[in-house]
Amino acid sequence: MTDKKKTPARSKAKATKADPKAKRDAADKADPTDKATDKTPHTGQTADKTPPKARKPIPKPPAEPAAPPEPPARTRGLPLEAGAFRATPRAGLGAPGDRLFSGLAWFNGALYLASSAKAPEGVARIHRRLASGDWAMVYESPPQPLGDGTRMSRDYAITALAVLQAPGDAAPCLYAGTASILGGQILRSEDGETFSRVSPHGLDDDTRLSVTQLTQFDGRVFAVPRGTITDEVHEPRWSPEPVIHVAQPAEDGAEPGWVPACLPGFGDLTNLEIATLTVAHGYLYATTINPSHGFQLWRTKAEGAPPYVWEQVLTRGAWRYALNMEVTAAAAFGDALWLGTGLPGRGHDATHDVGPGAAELIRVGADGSWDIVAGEMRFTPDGLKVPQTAMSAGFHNDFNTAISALCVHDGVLYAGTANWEPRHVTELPVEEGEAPPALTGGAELWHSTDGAHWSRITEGPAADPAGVRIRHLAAAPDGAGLAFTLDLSGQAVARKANLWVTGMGMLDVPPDDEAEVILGGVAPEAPPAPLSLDPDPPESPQTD
Amino acid sequence: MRSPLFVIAPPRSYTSVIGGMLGQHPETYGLPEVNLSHGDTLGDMWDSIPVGINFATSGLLRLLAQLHEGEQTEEAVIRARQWILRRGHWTGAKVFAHIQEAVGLDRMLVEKSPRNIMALENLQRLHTMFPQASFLHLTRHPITQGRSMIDLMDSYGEDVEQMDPERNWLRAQTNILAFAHELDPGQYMRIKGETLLKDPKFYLAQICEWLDIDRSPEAIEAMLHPETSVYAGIGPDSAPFGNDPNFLLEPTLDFDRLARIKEPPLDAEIPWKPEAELMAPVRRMARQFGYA
Repeated sequence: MTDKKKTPARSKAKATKADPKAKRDAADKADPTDKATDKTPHTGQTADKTPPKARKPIPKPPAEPAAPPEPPARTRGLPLEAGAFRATPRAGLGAPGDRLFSGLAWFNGALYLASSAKAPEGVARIHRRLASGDWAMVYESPPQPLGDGTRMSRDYAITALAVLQAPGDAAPCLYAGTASILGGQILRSEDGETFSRVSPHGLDDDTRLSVTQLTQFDGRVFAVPRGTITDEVHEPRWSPEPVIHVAQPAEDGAEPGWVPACLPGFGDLTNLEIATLTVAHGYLYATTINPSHGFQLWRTKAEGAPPYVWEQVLTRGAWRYALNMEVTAAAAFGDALWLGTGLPGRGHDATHDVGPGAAELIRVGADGSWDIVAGEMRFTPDGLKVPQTAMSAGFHNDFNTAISALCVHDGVLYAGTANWEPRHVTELPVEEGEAPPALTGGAELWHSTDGAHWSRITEGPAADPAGVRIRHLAAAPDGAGLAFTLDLSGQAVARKANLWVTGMGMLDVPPDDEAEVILGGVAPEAPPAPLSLDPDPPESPQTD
Repeated sequence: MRSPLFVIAPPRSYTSVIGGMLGQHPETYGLPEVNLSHGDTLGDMWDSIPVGINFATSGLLRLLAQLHEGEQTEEAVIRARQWILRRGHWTGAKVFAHIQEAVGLDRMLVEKSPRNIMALENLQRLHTMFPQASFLHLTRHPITQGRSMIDLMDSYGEDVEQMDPERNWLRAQTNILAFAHELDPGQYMRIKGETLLKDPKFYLAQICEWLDIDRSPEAIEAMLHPETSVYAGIGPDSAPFGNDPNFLLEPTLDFDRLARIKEPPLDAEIPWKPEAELMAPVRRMARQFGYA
């Protein structure tokens, strides 16, 4: 009896040449659902202005009364279209150190944004978006006196932002993990305005720099302390013992204790850190960073006393080895766990000399079976793996070095990428007298209603050619909005604004750590009321 | 006509064993090393091989003798050589077409000449000849590959002190990866030779699935016997080789031995360079191939 396969695996994976731009263009065209992608012209930012402060009205020519804004059309299960996205104004985010956006969450109907500094001299802040569209700061890390008489902000970065309902919480609360020279800690807020510490520094070891990956599973809160801080060492990424912690019930109002939920590195010294925690299939899943062999995926039911029994689901970077050294985003969607992999920067981890490589999207079933959605076709101990979308790594774009965010909104899975093409294009040499090359590329936002068919948003703020990383995606729980943070290339921002003098290069290049927040599916704020046309307005009761 | 399969790898990377297996599938035809990618015409290629280097000429001579006359006698090889010399103006593609016609249009040619990977343009030439060809990249640990290379050259009395197998490994792999980047997804696949040889039935079935050829137990069983190839043995005096001499002397596979293949750690001392480790670019590439 023969077992001859009639559908050639190779033809399933066949697409186009590997040139990054050609691949990207072909991917956009080849996608069977491409027609669903919005093709309306990018209208730029909405007329979203801060209302003028109270002052004597100035008569102006007659104006049409402002029409109420139309909310974007939204039907459950349909992806947001390009026209549904708009950049938010930065009013209220003006602090010099507030450029690194490090967390995004919806809480009690409002969007919260964390901003961080890259070094301990900075200050961590949390902002809430107001109904007016402005941002208001709701948390600023307090100053901490140091032994030498100087003061430094207690927390310089927010490293996690999540809505959880821990044991003892009457309702879901906003939780934040921080990075601090005193050891990372956890903040909690019931109302989104008042934040209090609910953990010791470093959880159980104050040499842990930060607290990341705040996740709730089976009524318990899990977190990953990460990095190292001592008098001699400030290492944001690595810690001597990568481990997940679980909160233990508090007694008499005391802070909960934290204990390890797994063995350090799951018993494998080549696992350098825990990258993600995700709940799916009734399990808590964790991924590791492993530049020697590739990431590992583990899961547990968290039964019995910690440390729990964990089961390994994937190893060796899903058999792509070191090129899949890290899972950079994970989400539960449909009946699967979705993993996006990535390498830092331009697809090369300089510390461990891994890369270059583009990102993969991998789907894991409840039974531990797995498939490549977009990535490299390969032979594995689990059989021949063919990318289900026929897209190669990076969604068929070598510039997409990480799938940096995954999120489910309104029944649709969204994936955001890190893309270094804007940096590449703006660094290309330009001959004297020649115009610089057109700006191309940019971080990409993809979506799928079923996980099998993917489309990219190709216009508008969700396809900004100056964007280099969609760092966070956050969906409002009622489907009322999708937000993401977008890191920008300063050179590309300048190029977009035509800050170019032939033969001289860029003028007034913005810094490279600018970022913005993009909102999708949220009605624009009402424009300010039209000014009065009464030639004799009543006197203001306030005299000054 | 079926597009061919090219097995591409640095020398001493199990291409003889694995290429031999793939060539014994009922739907394929395993060629000896014909070396038809390093020039534009048969004359160019033939002339570029130094006289007396019958490593590089034996394969085509034996193949043509076998296809033209059904035997690989000295006389048949002499006539094959004359056939070649009269067709110096033929392109590689025309020679391949001649071979394909003689083998049968329904058979997939399997080819693994070492010269294919010695320059990127050689690989590109193959791709130009066969735009739909499949390319299977075999890897072997850089330390064991280098050691094997040195042992072979030493056995032929070469000056192994001057050899730098590490750089040769890197150069060949770099050529292959650069070439792979030009191919359609699914046209190129890579596998560790050590992995395949530890469980050949399992991985040969995956390769068959990839190539869309029969992966029944009977087909897989046929592949486990490369010794049944008419080219799996020493040829006549003027064309003795056409493959790795060690393989030609012992083409029957010892699967127990293959299952025990060891992979040293990447930071191990290099046997031919005391107190030295592999270069960083070699370690990086090897790690990404799955060595650790």
